[in-house]
Amino acid sequence: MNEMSDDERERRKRQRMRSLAIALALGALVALFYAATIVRLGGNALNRAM
Amino acid sequence: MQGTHLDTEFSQLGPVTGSSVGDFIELLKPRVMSLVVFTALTGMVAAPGSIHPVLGVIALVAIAIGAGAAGALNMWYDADIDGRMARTAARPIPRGRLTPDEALSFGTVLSVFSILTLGVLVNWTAGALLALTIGFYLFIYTMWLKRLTPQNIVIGGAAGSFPPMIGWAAVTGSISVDSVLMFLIIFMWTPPHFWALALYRCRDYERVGVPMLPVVAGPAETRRQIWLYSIVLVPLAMLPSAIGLAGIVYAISSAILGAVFLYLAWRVRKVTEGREADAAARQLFAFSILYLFLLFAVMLGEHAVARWVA
Repeated sequence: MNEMSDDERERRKRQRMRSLAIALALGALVALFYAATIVRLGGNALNRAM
Repeated sequence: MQGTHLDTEFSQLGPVTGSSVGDFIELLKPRVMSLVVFTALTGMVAAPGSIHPVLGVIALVAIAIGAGAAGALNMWYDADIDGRMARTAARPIPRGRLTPDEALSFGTVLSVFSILTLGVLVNWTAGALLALTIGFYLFIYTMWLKRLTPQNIVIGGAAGSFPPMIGWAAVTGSISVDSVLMFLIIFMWTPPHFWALALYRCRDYERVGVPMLPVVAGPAETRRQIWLYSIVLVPLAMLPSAIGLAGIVYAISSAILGAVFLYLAWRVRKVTEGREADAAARQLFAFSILYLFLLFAVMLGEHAVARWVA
């Protein structure tokens, strides 16, 4: 059995938190662009010619 | 001086445990960021016309992140001197919690994203002004003027003065006399604010070779310049009421706050020896932050109430 050192455990924890922060930031960016697109299109999204 | 940061003693490896999310957030200079957001919000609310609330929030987020990115790039470039100054020694790069490369990548990515987001989703006048702000802070102030001339914070102060103009441009898509006046108030406020700090942090700057005014021209000249800038700043900060950018509450507030500012600046000029001199400079520095905050808070409040009533 390989025991993880405290440093290694801390390193993995920080890596996990960084990954989570990047994922959240990317998610927020997608939501931001989605919201802005809906706002900019407004009611016109449904008014295009078929 | 230029380029000495390349001979940095800071490890390129970073801590063995890796950097934490908090270290990256610290790179964004959250306290500076909050003042930037606040003045940008004032510019947005004071501007004629309206912006969809979602786009308004996006604009503020982009401005905040752009300002933070500029802070990160500043910490990357200045890591060598930050490590030798009491006020900045605990920053993530000098402490070895982040590598300079991490800070550079982080600042660059956020700069590009914030400019593009503001430009594409709001408008390109605001996006261009944000790009100008970041570029000015990094290239003109941090890389060029800061280590070259005692006028560093006079000219470099422009970078911190742009946020209300960006907020204004986010709503109107343009620049106007009103938004330039908001720019000028912060621009004229910056020298007395920073020189008050530099008066009692003089040795720090001297040690690292940053030619702040007290180091190069001496405390007496610095005190004179603080006074001169203050007597220009105070009437300038009262102008918004005169040109219709603000109302009566602002007129009264700016007069009272201006009188206090002038009193404290006068004390800095007259009390030149011992602990009392340091205390006078500290008082002016602390009050200058409150002064700018209250001026913009009153302007924001007046416009918010006017919109609410209308």
